[in-house]
Amino acid sequence: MTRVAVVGAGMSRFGTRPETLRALFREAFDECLATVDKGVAVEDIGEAYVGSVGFGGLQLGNLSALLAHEIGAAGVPARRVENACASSGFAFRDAVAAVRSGACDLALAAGVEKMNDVSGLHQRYWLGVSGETEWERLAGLTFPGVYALLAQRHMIEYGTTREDLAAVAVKNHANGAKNPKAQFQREITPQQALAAPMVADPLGLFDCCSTTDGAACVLVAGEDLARRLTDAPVWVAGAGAASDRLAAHERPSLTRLDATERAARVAYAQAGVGPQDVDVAEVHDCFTIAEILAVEDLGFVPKGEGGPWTAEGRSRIGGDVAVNPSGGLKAKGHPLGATGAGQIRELFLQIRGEAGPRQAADAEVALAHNVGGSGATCAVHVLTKEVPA
Amino acid sequence: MIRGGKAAHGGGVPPSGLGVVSVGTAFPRLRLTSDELKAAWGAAPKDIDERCIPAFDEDAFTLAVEASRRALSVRGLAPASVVTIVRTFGGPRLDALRFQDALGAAEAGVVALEPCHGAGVLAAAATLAGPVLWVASSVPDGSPGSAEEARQGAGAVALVLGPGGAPLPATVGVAPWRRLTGDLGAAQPFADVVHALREAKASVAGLAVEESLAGGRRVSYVRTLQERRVLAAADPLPSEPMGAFVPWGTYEASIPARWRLEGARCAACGRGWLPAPTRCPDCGGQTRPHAFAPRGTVHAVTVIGRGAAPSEFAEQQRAVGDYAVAVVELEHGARVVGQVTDVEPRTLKVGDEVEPVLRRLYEQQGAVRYGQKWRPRGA
Repeated sequence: MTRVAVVGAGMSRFGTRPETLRALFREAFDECLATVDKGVAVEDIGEAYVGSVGFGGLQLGNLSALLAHEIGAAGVPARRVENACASSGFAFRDAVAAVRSGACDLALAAGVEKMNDVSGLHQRYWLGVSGETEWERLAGLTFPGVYALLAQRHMIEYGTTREDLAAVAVKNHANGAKNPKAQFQREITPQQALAAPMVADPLGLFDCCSTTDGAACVLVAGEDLARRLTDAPVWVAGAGAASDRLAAHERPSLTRLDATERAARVAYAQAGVGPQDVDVAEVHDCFTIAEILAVEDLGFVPKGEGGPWTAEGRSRIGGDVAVNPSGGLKAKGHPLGATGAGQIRELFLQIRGEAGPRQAADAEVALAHNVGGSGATCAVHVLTKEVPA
Repeated sequence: MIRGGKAAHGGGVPPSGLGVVSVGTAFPRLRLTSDELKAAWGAAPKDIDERCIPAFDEDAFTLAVEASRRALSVRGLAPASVVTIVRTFGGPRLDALRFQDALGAAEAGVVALEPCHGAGVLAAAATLAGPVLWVASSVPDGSPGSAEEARQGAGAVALVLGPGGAPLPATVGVAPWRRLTGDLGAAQPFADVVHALREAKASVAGLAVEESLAGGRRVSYVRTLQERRVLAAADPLPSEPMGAFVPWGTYEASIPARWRLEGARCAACGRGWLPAPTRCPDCGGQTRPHAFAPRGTVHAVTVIGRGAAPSEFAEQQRAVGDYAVAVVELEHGARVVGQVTDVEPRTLKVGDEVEPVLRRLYEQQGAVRYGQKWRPRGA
């Protein structure tokens, strides 16, 4: 099996963007291409995987062809990958698999979503498309409600507090303030977070990520090509993924995401590392409780201790593990289908020491954790500075 | 409409000894006082103190179902053994088959749904084998400020007729609790019959009307207009929107599970599931149909605030505010998720006991979609 590395990564600025879907994709791809140190031709891309939920319904069919054409890669085998908010985490997984298998030397993993050009009522439709539709949704739940139920059980079973949740938001906003591509580049105080209006008890406005327009692109290459394209490839040492029951209430427990545990187990094993080795992680914090579940299910901290661990500052840049130095979904923004590729782009910068004021020191082992829905799908990748064994 | 002093059923002795064997009533929890009404419009009827107001998720159908379920369960009658005769005014016309679906009486039959005269009902009933369910239900339809609005209240009364039951009284007066319910329209003569049976100390199950009237909550006049949908939503749902949307056929297939808690149990591991899976998701075992007992426990609960409601419930939230959604644990480890109604959302706690109630969910493709919600037990 060929070793695989990320050789380039870029993203559009995330936020409310008046530009078209195609223009956002172009913005991300141009930056991605520019980060390939020794340059690469668009024609060398052998496969393209584009993650998108199709929010708004603008181009549900054949989106990948439209975007391949946009970046001058018409002709490349392309397809859309849909796994809700984990769409481009899985697009990245598929691109890695294509290169690992030898099917191609260079693959594009990308994601794009434009969420802010439809009315509030249609946003409500689309925000619910990835939950369990017949029962969960018709009980009156969208994701804030589902994650609120998880948060409430976590509070009952482990004593997690609203202050612990607020600590996640405060940390991620502080990180986002250092990220010029983030949707929210400002810090918040715990008081602000706690005083915000309730969205779904116990989750307030600052416990929830926003709706975001954005795109992200990543190029992965086989070892030989990677070494020709750059002196600083970022190695994909482990790739794990899993699925779980779509409706949260049908799972045995509401306080863990089994898909995260399963995906992480595979990724760690492939990489030959454990959670204690991870220096920096981009985890799926669509809600503050989701980051607490993630740091537990990924093994950074024992189950139930994610809240206090975060509140003590252990996951800040400079802490035990820098969690979401980009600002995470919370502050960087969450353009559903673009989020997973955006996480890889952040870790590409971190491993190469190019993350500027939000750089985690000595970042050699990085982990990306991308979740679809309330844990129905999950992709975990371990990226390393050193060539994997 | 037949009023006080005359018999609701048209008088006369029932043929074949048919009589009332049980009674069920259902009244909405929300109440509008005459003082509130007077403050809004300057006047209120003197013979009515309060009116029952249907909540946003209640209508003549849900009230008729609730009253009927009570009338049957208080006598331990199996719905499948009952022939139904429904009579209703106000609100949407009741769909006969839907009503049978809701009761689980699909194997019985519906004789009539049109407004029908009591003597005709009794004559028809006498020709039928088994008990007959006769139900009337009404919700206010008066416009704001009208004399109708000032008198009308919502409620349903179901009578089960069978051999050996108490004879229908020859003459009846107005039930005194009309002061507390408002005029029940089509259901008022039925309510008056219930009153007459009580006065006669008849041996009929379910005459304790106080139980279904208890626990009322007084609300402001404006709130009643919101609950009654008189103050309409600014942007109703598109008929067949893009994005996630449950088509009618898929919804219809879920009715046994939604309305009657008909799910399945795994023959191998015993775990219950609602709705029924094709195989047990836990162990892969074969499943058998299982109707869940109508009770559950709150396992987790949240209150959905602005912005967190799916578009189907955006209208409800705008009209009557935040609502509670709970994961409810049923028998045999089954868990379902649903709204909890008839309660102040923030007072619900994990561990609270709840019971199912059929309510309106939302309206799309020209039809109301009803489904099971939950409410605190004994509410």
